[in-house]
Amino acid sequence: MEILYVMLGISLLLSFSFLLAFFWASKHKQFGDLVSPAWRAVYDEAEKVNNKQNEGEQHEREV
Amino acid sequence: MEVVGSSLSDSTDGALCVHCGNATTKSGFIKDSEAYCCTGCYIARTSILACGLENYYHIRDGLLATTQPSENSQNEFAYLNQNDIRKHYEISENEMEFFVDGIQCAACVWLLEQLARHLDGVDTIRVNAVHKTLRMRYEPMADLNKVLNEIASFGYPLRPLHHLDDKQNLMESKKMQDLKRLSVAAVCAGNIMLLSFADYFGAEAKFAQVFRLVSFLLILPITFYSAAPILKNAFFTVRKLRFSMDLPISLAFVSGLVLSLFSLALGEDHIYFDSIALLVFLILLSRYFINRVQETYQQKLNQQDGLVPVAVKDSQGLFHLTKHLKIGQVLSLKPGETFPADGYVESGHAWISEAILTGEASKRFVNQGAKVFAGSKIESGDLQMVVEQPFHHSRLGRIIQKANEALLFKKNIGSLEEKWATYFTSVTFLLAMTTFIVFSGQWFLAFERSLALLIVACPCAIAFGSPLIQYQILLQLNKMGIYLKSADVLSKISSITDIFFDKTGTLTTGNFHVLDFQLPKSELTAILSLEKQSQHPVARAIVNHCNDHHIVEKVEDFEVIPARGVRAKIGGHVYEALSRQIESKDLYIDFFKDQNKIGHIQLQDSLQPGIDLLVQSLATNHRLHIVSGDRNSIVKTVANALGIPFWQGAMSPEQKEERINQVPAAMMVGDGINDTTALAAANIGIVVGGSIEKALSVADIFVASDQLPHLTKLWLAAKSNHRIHKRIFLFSILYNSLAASLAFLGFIKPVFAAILMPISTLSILLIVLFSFRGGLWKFST
Repeated sequence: MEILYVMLGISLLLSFSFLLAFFWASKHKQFGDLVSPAWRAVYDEAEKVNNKQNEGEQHEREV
Repeated sequence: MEVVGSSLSDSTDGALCVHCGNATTKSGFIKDSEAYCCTGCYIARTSILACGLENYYHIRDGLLATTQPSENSQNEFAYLNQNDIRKHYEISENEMEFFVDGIQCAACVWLLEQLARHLDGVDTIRVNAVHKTLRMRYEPMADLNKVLNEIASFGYPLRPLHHLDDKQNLMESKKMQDLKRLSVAAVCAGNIMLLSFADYFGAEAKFAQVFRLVSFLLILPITFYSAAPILKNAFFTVRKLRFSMDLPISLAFVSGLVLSLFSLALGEDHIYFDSIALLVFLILLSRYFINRVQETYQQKLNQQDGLVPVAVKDSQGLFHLTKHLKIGQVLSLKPGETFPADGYVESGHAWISEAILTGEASKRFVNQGAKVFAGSKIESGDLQMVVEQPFHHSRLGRIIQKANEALLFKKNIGSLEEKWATYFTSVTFLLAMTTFIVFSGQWFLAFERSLALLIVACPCAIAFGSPLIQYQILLQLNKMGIYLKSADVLSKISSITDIFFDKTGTLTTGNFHVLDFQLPKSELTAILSLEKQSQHPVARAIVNHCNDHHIVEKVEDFEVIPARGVRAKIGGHVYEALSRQIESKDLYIDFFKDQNKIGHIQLQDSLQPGIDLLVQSLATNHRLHIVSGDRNSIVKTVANALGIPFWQGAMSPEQKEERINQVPAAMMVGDGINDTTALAAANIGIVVGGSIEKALSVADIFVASDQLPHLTKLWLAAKSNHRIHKRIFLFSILYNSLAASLAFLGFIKPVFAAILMPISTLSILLIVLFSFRGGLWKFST
């Protein structure tokens, strides 16, 4: 049953690495905006359709 | 929208885009005989039409007509073109962040981000819909004034955020701290719980000892990091001989910790690390949720903004930031501008409106030497002022600061709950002391039993349950468009006996409806030019009524005649628009040209939609009154139409306040600025419509004007609040008295107490969640 000591160490290591990952994520604003990125994914789709429909014009505009 | 003016000539056919109204340029095209300026607009319009939302265009055009930027606001952001101020606001090279009002949905985000392509000098725009901020990258030479005014003209008023001294930034870092404390508590408490299971199920002694030691190590971050603010606060309240919810929590925590440490040292098995860790975690979690709700108000309550300009011009025409103004600086102010500081007039003269400070709509004439206060607005005239008190020390600044402090430091626990919790804690504490004294012969037994009692009967269930209830209720009310400054108000609502309504803007819309309009066509342009100079609701109604775009003529010597109308010289003639002084339910405005009457207009204020239902439902349990500054005949008409028994017209703000003070439990419903004193005098002040930030500085509750019929929900919410609180209190009393007596008799070892405490907290949680199942309204009706 001495394996318990190792497992205890591993479980603590795991949980604290998750904690650190959480700190990192919140520091880098990963949770800063949970709404707009989801919407943005939808617009990208719309833009692609847009591009396909009249690629030439779109290209000209952006240049 | 610059395109309309500047690039009309180089467009292919000059047609305006049916979607956005901009002129179509080279990339424009015609499809289905409608002109589009870009494919974006084409897609937007086809999807709008495909969804059957043609009404969007009508609504939008209506909105645009009413929010046309005035002459003055065209240069609202001119200060950002001045280099030193631009540098002050930049978060990095050529990048600035703004707070944007009016972001509602995905479409707003899309629109704002697409705008980057159409605005000169802008590289990218990124919107954060949660924080309502917009981050913009631009080219070094970009004309930010023009760009921002264009964005604002789409219906998104914005203001630059400054990252070093912004309150918002402070809040953000506090939120971050809270989150870190919470996550540390979560990780440690979770692990401690796992380890203590081994102990409960009888682990071998050598393992058990190791597990306890690890638990001890894990409790350290909780004690010194996660729970630190709670312990600190409790310590301070003890020193000041006051009560706070942190006190019983800290007491339970510290005593549990001390006993556990003793047990650990003596090799006993009275270890409570798991329960105190869980306690801290649950408390922090509930507070985090509550703070998030309050945060949404905080964001709206950045009150300084909008009340005074961000930057003002000095006498040399150089911009200075309002917050950096120094005593003795000379500022130059024009009509429509707001005083940024207290001071006196150095030269020039003007009519100014001090409505924000005095609550009176009448104007005051100031000339050299007169004292002026921050927040008042110049109606007509130019002047130069000397700064005596910068904004933070001005009258208005101090009022706002007080309101902000009250909000920031307000305890989340309502008065009722606090009373109960105090009572609860003192009883628990007293019982624990009694237990200790009764068994003082055998000190360890006494210690153990009194601690078990303290832990098991700790009112932390209330500390956790109460914020949760309030969180749920505030959340549900927010969805109905009702915003509460704090949940404390809820406990006062049921005692209200009299409700006072302001008339204009509350019972009626304040949007005048034109009944009759007589004016020769030849004079229309002149009269419109005259009325366009005024911001008065009547003037706006007249301009909106003639909803065609006449060319504005040059207006000279414009002046406002207080309580009567306006006068100006146009094309060599003196034009006047004056209200007729007669007793009638309608409002008549007569137009004069060189003293000769040339026409008139008859206007009527219309009732707020849905107001009759609200009045009906409130009338069953309350005395309703109308207090209005309007003429008696008009007030009577409205009172009769709605069936409100008590009414009085022609009241001054002081008379309103006096009338409300005569009633011990009064609620005042008004529309803000001119009812300030009355709202403050009432037990509960409710502001209808207008801007929420201004409203909540004087009142307890804000209701969006189109949500006013939902006000009845407030009573339901108060009832639910009371009922659910009663339920959890009853449960707590039963549970705790049972547990306390068992602990006193020694049936509950501290180890069981530690298990029972989280169970009681969990039951409270379940009761609260169950009470809100199916929504607040279903439950309470």
